[in-house]
Amino acid sequence: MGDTRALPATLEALMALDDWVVAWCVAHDVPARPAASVRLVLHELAANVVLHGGGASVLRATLAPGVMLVLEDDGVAFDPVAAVSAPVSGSIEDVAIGGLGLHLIQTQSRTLEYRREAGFNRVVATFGSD
Amino acid sequence: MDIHHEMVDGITRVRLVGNLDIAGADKIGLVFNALAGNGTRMLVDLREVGFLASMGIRLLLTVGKTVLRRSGKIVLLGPVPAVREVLTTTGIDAMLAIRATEDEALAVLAG
Repeated sequence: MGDTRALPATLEALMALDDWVVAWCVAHDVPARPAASVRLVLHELAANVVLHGGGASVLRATLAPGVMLVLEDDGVAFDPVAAVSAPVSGSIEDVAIGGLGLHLIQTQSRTLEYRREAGFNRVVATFGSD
Repeated sequence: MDIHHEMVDGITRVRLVGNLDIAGADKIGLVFNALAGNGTRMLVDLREVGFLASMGIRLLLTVGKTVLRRSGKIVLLGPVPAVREVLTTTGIDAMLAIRATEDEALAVLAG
């Protein structure tokens, strides 16, 4: 039922994963809005690993109808569910730009779960089908 | 991601084409930031941007700050629905002017 891609945790992998998720959503007739959300959440989760993943070497992503996204990596433990984020607010001069990616991960997914097992971070995100 | 730019009637017109994600932002960052340091009125045409991620938002904010610090004006033109949603959910729409049509965008810069 699920379709999985395993790649080294590099910036190039982000582009490959982007092409893959776009093609997968087209092949599974995912409507535009949830397709955009899955694409964005996958990008932000994977980018976090590549940029801040503390030595992650592998990314493993799975997509299943519903839509469900699973992303696993072997980097340092990081829980995107518990991490605090907030939208940008106040004047543009006061903007703290950090945490934008997390904010998008948390708001663009319908459900978000995290587990740490056997040295892997495992994030499961679901999205509406409409 | 490609960046096209020209100066027309005192307005720096920047047209972005493609995905404004990590790779895209990295590719155009230098040029985009340099453009923000020149001139005081900037129109950023987002009509051909299909994807906006946090690194792209960061770049838009940096450019916006640069323009506004110089007492300039900046407006984002025509984001597609998926991009518009990202700008709204992150609160960027409260910081940078966004308009759906070119006429509305030019009105912001003229005012």
